[in-house]
Parts: sequence; C-alpha cells; structure tokens
Amino acid sequence: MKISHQWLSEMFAEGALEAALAAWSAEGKAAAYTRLLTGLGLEVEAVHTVGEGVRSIVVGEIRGKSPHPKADKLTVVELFDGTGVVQVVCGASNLPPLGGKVAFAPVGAVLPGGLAIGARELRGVPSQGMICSEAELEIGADDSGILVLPEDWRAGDRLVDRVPGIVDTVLELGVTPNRPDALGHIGVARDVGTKLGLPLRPPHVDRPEAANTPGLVTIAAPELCGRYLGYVLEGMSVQPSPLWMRVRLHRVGLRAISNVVDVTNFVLMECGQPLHAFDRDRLAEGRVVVRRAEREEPMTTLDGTQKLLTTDDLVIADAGAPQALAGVMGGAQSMVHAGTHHLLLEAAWFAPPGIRATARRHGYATDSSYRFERGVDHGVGLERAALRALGLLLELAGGRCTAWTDAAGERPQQPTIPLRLPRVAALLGVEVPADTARAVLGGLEVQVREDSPEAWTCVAPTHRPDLRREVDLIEELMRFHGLDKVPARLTVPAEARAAAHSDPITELGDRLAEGLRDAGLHEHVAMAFVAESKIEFFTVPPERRVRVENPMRAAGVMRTHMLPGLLDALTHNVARHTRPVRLFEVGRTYAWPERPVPKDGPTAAIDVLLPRERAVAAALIYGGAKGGASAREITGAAVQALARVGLRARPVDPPAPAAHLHPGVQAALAVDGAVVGEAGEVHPDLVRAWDLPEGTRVYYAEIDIEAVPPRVTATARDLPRFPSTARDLSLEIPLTLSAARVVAALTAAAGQVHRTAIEAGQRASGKTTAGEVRLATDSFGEPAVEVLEDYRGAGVPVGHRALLLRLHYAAEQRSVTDDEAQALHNAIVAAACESLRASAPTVRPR
Amino acid sequence: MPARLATQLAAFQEALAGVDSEAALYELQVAYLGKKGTVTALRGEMGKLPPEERKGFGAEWNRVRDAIEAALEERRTYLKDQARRLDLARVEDLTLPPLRPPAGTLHPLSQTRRRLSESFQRLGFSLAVGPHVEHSKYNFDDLNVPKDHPARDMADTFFVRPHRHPGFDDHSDNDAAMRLRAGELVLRTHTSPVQVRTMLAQKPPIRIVALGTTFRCDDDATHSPMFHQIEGLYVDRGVTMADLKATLMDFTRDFYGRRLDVRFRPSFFPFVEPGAEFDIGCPFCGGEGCNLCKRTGYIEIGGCGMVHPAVFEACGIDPEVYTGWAFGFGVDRMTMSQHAVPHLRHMFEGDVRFLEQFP
Ligand SMILES: [Zn+2]
Repeated sequence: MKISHQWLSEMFAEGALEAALAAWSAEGKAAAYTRLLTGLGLEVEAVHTVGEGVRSIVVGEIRGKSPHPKADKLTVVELFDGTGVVQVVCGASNLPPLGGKVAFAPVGAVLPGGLAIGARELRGVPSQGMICSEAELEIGADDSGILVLPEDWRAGDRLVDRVPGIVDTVLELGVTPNRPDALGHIGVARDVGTKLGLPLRPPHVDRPEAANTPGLVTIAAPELCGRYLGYVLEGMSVQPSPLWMRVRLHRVGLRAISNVVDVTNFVLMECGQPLHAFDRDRLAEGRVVVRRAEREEPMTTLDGTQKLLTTDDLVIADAGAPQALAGVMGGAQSMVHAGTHHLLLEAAWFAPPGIRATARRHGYATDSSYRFERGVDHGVGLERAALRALGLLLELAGGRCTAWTDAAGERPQQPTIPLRLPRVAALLGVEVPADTARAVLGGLEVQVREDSPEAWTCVAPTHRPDLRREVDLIEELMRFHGLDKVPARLTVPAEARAAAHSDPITELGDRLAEGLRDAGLHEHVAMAFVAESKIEFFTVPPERRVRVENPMRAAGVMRTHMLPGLLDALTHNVARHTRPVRLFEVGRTYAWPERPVPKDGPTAAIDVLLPRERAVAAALIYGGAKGGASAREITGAAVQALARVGLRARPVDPPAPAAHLHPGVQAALAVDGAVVGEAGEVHPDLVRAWDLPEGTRVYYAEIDIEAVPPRVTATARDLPRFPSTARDLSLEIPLTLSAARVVAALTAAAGQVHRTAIEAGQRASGKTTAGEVRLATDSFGEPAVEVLEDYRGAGVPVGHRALLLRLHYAAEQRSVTDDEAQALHNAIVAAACESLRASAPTVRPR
Repeated sequence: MPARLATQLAAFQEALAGVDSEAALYELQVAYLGKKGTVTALRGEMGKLPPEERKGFGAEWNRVRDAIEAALEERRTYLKDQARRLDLARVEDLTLPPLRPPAGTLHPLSQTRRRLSESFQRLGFSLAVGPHVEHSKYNFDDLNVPKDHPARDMADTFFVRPHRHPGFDDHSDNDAAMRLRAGELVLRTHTSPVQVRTMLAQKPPIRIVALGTTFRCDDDATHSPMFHQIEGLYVDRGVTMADLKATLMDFTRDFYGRRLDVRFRPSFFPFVEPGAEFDIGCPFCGGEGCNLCKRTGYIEIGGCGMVHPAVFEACGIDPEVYTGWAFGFGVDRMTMSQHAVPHLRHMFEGDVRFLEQFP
C-alpha cells in the first residue's frame, strides 16, 4: 500500500501534520514516519522522496514552430519561458499549436531521473533546454509524447506552484489483513493523528439536494449486501483528469484513465472504499438489482472475459442481466466510455467471505475484492466516500446529481465491548493510564462509556471490523501507548518451574543421527515430497500414497520412502565431483494405512483422518568414482547407529526381500530377534533409473525408529577365570546360505549337544561333571562363534563358498583340555551340518 | 690364581666383548655361572684338593665369580643404555595427516534445531511434536483463522487429497474421511497446530516448544517449499507479555551466550492478540551496528503475542482464568545467517562438499 505524505497532510488542518511530525521527531520525514508507523504496526517497507527534480520545471508557451532542416521528426520551437524566448529542438509529435503550454526544463535543470539539462546542438541546431513528457518528469506513465499543460496557465509559472503537492514523500506500507481501514489514506491518517494528538479533518463533503429515489436500487440478497448507496449524475462528460489528479494517482501506483474512473480510484486510495460507476444509459430501466447469480448465468466482465456464474456469486444486475460481479469487477456492457454522460455511482458494503469466494472462484484479485474481502466501512465512512466521489465528479466532469438512494441489507452489528483497564496490566504486564486510554480510543473513534473508573463499555467504529473483543481494544491501547514499554519480568521464577522433557522419538532419532555421523556419514535434508515416478519402485501401492493437490516442482507425492531423496542427492554429487558420497537422513515417510486405524485421546476424531507418518533413519554409501566401498560398510553404519542407543544389532536374512535392494545383497537388521531395519545394495534398476553410471554400486540402510526397542540398562557379567579354547571350522556352503543362519545353526546345535550331555550324565548317576564344558559366551552373554572369512576362490565348487568360523569352548571352574574341546566341537559341527542340510543339502565341513 | 680359574676368566672376558644383546648376555651367564656352568663346575672340584690348598682356591674362586658377575652387570647396563639411545633416536613426523575414521557431520539445520531445543529445555520448555499432514481445523480454524478469511492468504497452503479406505465402506472412520472436503487436509503451514494439540491434551500450566518441518507453496531464492520452524507456548495463570519478553531475553543469554535486548513491534497473527514481531539485539555486534544487522543493532527474528482468547476457547481453556503467550520463528534463515550460507539451495541439495563444512 502506497501512502503519499501530501495526501495524508490533506486529512488534517493545513500544515498541521508537517509541524506535528517535526515536533515529534527531528530525525527527518522518512525516519520519523518509519519509526512512527512501524511502531503502530503499519510497517514501513520503503520510503521514496519523489518529484524533487520538478522544482526547476516551468510553464513554457509555444511562440513559433518550424521543421528541423536536417531531420523530419524534429521541430525547432520558439518557446517563451516567462522572461524571454529560447530556441528548443523537440522530437514529440503532439506539440500544441502556437500559444499552447508545455512543461519546460531550462538549461541547468536536473530531471527527477537524474538527467542534467545543458545547452546542446541537435543535428546542427542549438537547443536551450528540453520540453518534457510526464514520464520524464516522473509524474505519470505516458511517454508517448510531451506533457501538454492547460492553455490558461501563465508562461514562466513554476510547475510546483501550479500543482501543489507534486513534490512528495511516498511510503510503502505492509498492511496486515486485519487492518482494511489502513488501505486508504484516511485510515492511516487516523492512526497518525491519534499518535500525534492531531484531530482528523478530512476534505469537506456535501449531500446532494436531489430526492431520495428508492426505486434505483433493490437488494434481493440482503445477507450478502449490507448496504448500497446509489447516485445518479446527468450531463457530465468523460475527459482526461487534471494534472493534480493524474500526479496523485501516479504517486500511489495507479494509472490515470479518465476523470470518472480516476475519481473512483482516487476515492479508493483516499477512503479505502471501492466504488463503481455504471453508464446508466446502458442499464435496463436505469436501475440495479443486487442479487445472487442464476446457475451458469453468463456475464462478460470489463476485462473482456466471459464467466459462467454460480448461485453463490453476488451480482449487480440491471432489470435483466448482471452488470457487475459485485465487489470484484464491473461488466463490459455498462462500463464507462468516452461518450458516457449519464452515470449511476455505486458505494456498497458486501459480505467479505462471499467476495473472497467469488474472487477465488473466477480467478480475480482486484483492488476492489482485496478491500471488500477484508471488510470496508459500512457506516459513515461509506457515505463519506460516496459523497467525496460525487463532489469530485461534479467538479471534474460537470453535470448534476438528480437522484440517489441508500438501500439497506443486513449490516454487521457493532459489538458492545466491555473494557476492564486492569486487564491491560494482567495481560501485558504494563499499565496504560486512563487518560491515554481515553485519548487513544477517542482518536480511533471508539465510543466509550465509563461505567466506573476501571470498567468501560465500548462500541467500535464501523471502519474497524477487527475490533470485536476486549483484547482487540487492549491491543489498540498498547499500539499507541508503545509496545516498547512492556518490561521484561518473569511471572514464575526459573527455580519454581517444572522440569522439561524431550520427545522420545525425536530423542531416538537424534541419537541414531549421531551414530551415523560417527560412522562417517553426512546428514542430508531432502524435500518431503517427490515426483510419483521416483517412488514407483517401492512397495507402497498408488492408492496408499499421500498426494498433494497443488504440488511444486512436480513433486506431488509425500515420500513413501527415504531412498529417492538420498539418490537425488547422490546424483547431484556424482554430477559435480568424483569423491565418495556418504549421506544419511533422519525424517518421516508418509502413507495411508492399509485399513482405518482407531485412535484415542482428545484429537482422535481428527487423527483418524490423517495418514501414517513414520520416523525413519536412512543411510547411503557410495565409494566414489574409483569405487572402494563395501556392502558391509552399510551394515556397519547401521549397527554403529544402533550401538549409539545402547542396542546390539545384527544383520540377518530378510524375512521378505526388499524390492528396491539387490536381491542377492541385502539383509534385515535385528535387535534381539526383532527386525528394526534393512540394509543392502541399491537395486541396479534404480541405479539406472537415476541415470547413475552403469555398474555404480550404492549401498543403503534404513532403521524404522518407532520399531527400535527401548534401551536396556546393561547388567555386568563376571569375567571368566579360566581361558577358553578355540577350534576353527571351514564350512562349504551354498552362496545363498547366509552366515547368520550358519551361526544360528551352530549355536542351536551347541545348545542341543549340551542338553543331551546333561541328560546322559544324569542317567549315569554321579557323573556331576557332565555338560561342564560348553560353547563359551562373549562379554555380552552371546555365543562365541566368530566368522573369520568368506572364501570364494579355487577349491570351492561353483555356487558355493567356504566360511571360516572359530568356535570358543570354556568351562566355568577350570581350563578345558584339548580332547574335551575337540569332542564337543565334533558333536556340534555334526549336529549343525545335519540341520543345515535340511534346506541346503550340499553343506559340508572341509 | 689357579691356572684353570684364570683360563676360564680370560675365556669369559673374551666372550663378553662379543655380546650385544640381553639374551646373549644371559646365555653367557648361564654358560659360566649356571648350574652346569664351567666356573660353577670348578667349585665342585674344590673338594678334591688337599685341605691346605682348599682355602686359597676357595677365595680365588669367589674373586673370579665376583669379577664375572660385575662384568655381566656392567655389560647389562651398557646394553640397556645402548638400546635406550637407539630408541630415542627414532623420528616419526606427527605433523603428517592424522589417521582417523572418516568424519561425518550433522546438517547445520539439525545443529541449530538441537541447540534451540536444548536451550528451551533448559528454560523449562518440553518438546512437543505433531503430524506434518494436518487437518485445517488444527492448522487454521482453531487458531482463529476462519475459512474464507484473508488471513489464510498469509500462508500459501499445500492441500492434501483426503483418503478413503477401499473395502471399508461401513467403517465409521471411513465415513468421516468421506465427508472430508477438498482443502481440509493440508501440509502444516506452521508449527502452531502443535499448540492446539497440546492444549487439547493437557491442562495448564503448559510450557512447550515445537520444532519441525513446515510447508508453504513458495519457491524462490529466499523461500523453500519446505522449511523449519520453532514455536513456544506458555499458558498459566498470570502469564503476561512482560514474561514473554523476559523469557526471550533469557533465551538469548542461553543461546548466544549473552543477554541481548528484545524489541516488540506491533503486528498481526490471527492466533495472538496483541500480536507483535520481535527483534533481538544483534548477536554479531552486540547492538552496535554491523553489516549483518544493516547497522540497526537489531535483527528480525519472528512473531509472538498473547494467545488469542478464541484459540483458548477452541481448546477448552478459560481465557478469564488463564493467559498465555506464544512465539515462533524460522530456523532456516537463522541457520543461514549463523553460518553465512550464501544460497538457500545449498541447504537441501545434499552436496557433501557443503555438508562436511559443519563439523
Ligand atoms: Zn550487528
């Protein structure tokens, strides 16, 4: 919102604002406005000082014109500048006839754009200055020709004297959606005046003397139109506006069009009230009906597009067809044109939600809809805006007002708001004196009844639809008293506070992240949404994907999996350098559950409508252009991460293979037998889909954070007093039989052999040492079976490998003899091989 | 001295000169003085001597043994010295690149989030979380942002297509899902729905901080469609805006290591009233003015205010009994200014050359 200082000044007694502002602060206009308005919540985003260069421009009179001897398009002008005649060469085609007046920049002038005017020669003809266009003077947008001034202006007069306020300071305000009143100069002036103690004195307006003619306006949808003022003007003529009007509009970023349109825009910017002018000769029966549109009723708006309306759209119709989309845009048929001499001027209040819905439905965002959907004044301000427009139209376009009416629909009730002054301190921790409160509320035109010194009853003005409750008034008091006066004071001293707690899943994710960092991985943050094509490899079916209706970057699906984001990052890296890429991310994946999942707690009714969000830690390792990463680094990283939360994880055969991982290079991650994640080589099809070089090996692991069991406090085990004895075993097994299963079979066999020995010992009574020697356990209480080597060289049959294992044997009370260890080892190996052969018949010790 | 003793002593001395290790020295000792040593053997022969010679031989033998032992000891000391000198002459250059496991890093956003979270936990704020896909009731309605209100334009919203479980037509939850209209499910545009969820779930006093991912359809050099926010909420009897100011100042002391000024500017957020933007004294220059604060001595942080009574009412908390404040700010911009990150895109590309800069 652009606000002109000159315009604001007109809302007060002459010279009052300038003086009050200077008295309030000596820091200069720009800085003073910035501090004052920003302190009131009207943030000043920029300040521009404009028109300084216009000071040296004078009115010039054309005394002679002759063609340039060497250039067709140039004219040599004899120009009277009030003191003498100078010769100026001009390239414009719209030079007025002799006696006409133009804007003249004499030698020595510096134009607003910075151009310094000097004596020049244009193709051999001397030129003493320049005749300017409004664009060159930065007082308008027209650069097609020079600015032609009214003939009755006197040559030599300064433009700044002829157009008061042409030198100006323009503020760009960021106006929050709760302040529709600040979308016009009066509203901003009201805040400024209240802060500076200046009474508001907006320009004088008069009611027309014509008769109230109720037949002009019919409100058929009173729930959508609260009030409609209509004024009929006859005998006016559509022309360009005078320069002061055009400059004013230009200052606030609007383009001058014609006097009628300019007046409605002027009032829009002055009062914040959108107005509309119809060519009354083109309204059937010369009257308007404010009604809902028919279903699919057609209408052509003044931008030339045809719309099919709905019954939720409010229109201003004549006796037959819609002539305007109420509060949003006028219609083409009855728009004001050069030959219009009979007007119906509209000033109305429309219900904000309806305007917003209509504007959205038809893809409009106009200055008008912007204000109506925030709520304009439906009280005195509305009539004031209409009368201001009427006065300006009569002044600029001539004619007279012959009829008017004020039709009523359902206007919002102004709430009666109790205000308890002590509540200010209770809420803000600072008191606002009653005198200040009285002055602020008075300045804002809030009606106050002081029932008691502490309890007041207030009614907010119609231009402040945001003032509904006590807190709203408290905010107003604080805005003007100064939010900077709020002290810093704790309600409860720090030592009296309850202890804070963390969130368990966040906590777990953070610790896993630290584990992955310690494994040498860098944390990545990827977008939570992906393109559908990137998750087609994964197992979540299309109907369970969570879709964004209005995606950006063509990423329309919430990620069902972490891998695509990490692969995107990998692709980015590979395209830029040849180094290894080790990344991880801790985040969420999203999917609709397979069936409705009942929820409980106070938010259950909402929660059942939401998708499942799963917290996941995911890791990716790529060895760089030279290769060098091993698949076991990814299991290592995952196991390390879980160790960070005190858990001992091990890779095991996956219960079901993951489709996005290489079928022969993957494992599940298990903690105490429960699967908490997966690890493996990324499926070669995905490597291809991401356009990574053929044969690139990428390793991936993920941990389902919510499946990770809670940390268990470790219980110390006593240390073995006697050394254990080891026996090595080389086992020939098929490639597809996992080491985890071999170890599990050996452990199970050891248990079985041990039980059998005890039972045998009990039968041969007295043999108390039976079962004394057994498979040793490690420091974590787990069977001491080590996997030393995975051999795939010569001497092993095709499709097989040799696993070198080491088993440790111990007894609690003594050392183990070689014979005992060997006997037990043989029995365990035999039993394990037998059980493994059930599914892999070719297993044999080497 | 008896000739045999003299011969042994001479032989020993000759052998000793060639000994250059502790092990060889020990062997030599055993060879002469061990149980079966040659000098030990001579002592055994003493009994065969006539009594008058015995005493003299014994004394000579003791002298030879002492001499050998002393020589052995001297040689041993010499060898130890020698070894120590050699050991000390070793040179290894420890300014060569250190050997260490590959260094990983936490994302700068993560680091800021953790520091913020720890800071606020120290100030007594518990961590609260909520879903990213949220219902507009919690993201907007209950936060005093009614449907068809321009305040919804303050955040460009991503809408999520509601889901109906096929084959569960008679399920009541499914009915509710069917009644969902387009536009009711959203990606949360701020962390504020966590406020609503917390106030629905627990009674005051409430002192929480919510930190997390948020989404808006904005995508340019300074806006990412996904970003991160932190939000604090304190509700109890007698909570004032003065408490908010003091708490934010305490936060600056904890987070930046020194207590910085906090400045409120009136502003509008539908879920607070009065609403304000808050600035803090520039942590880079301490308020004296520098390039990072554009010479103002302050940096803009975020929004705050007193919880709107309409929000309390939506959450079943009596605004006449309880008051509260809330604040929120973006984590991404704070992180970027902290680390002088030149481009927003670096934050989400995953280039390891960027990520490894934040140990
Ligand atoms: Zn600074």
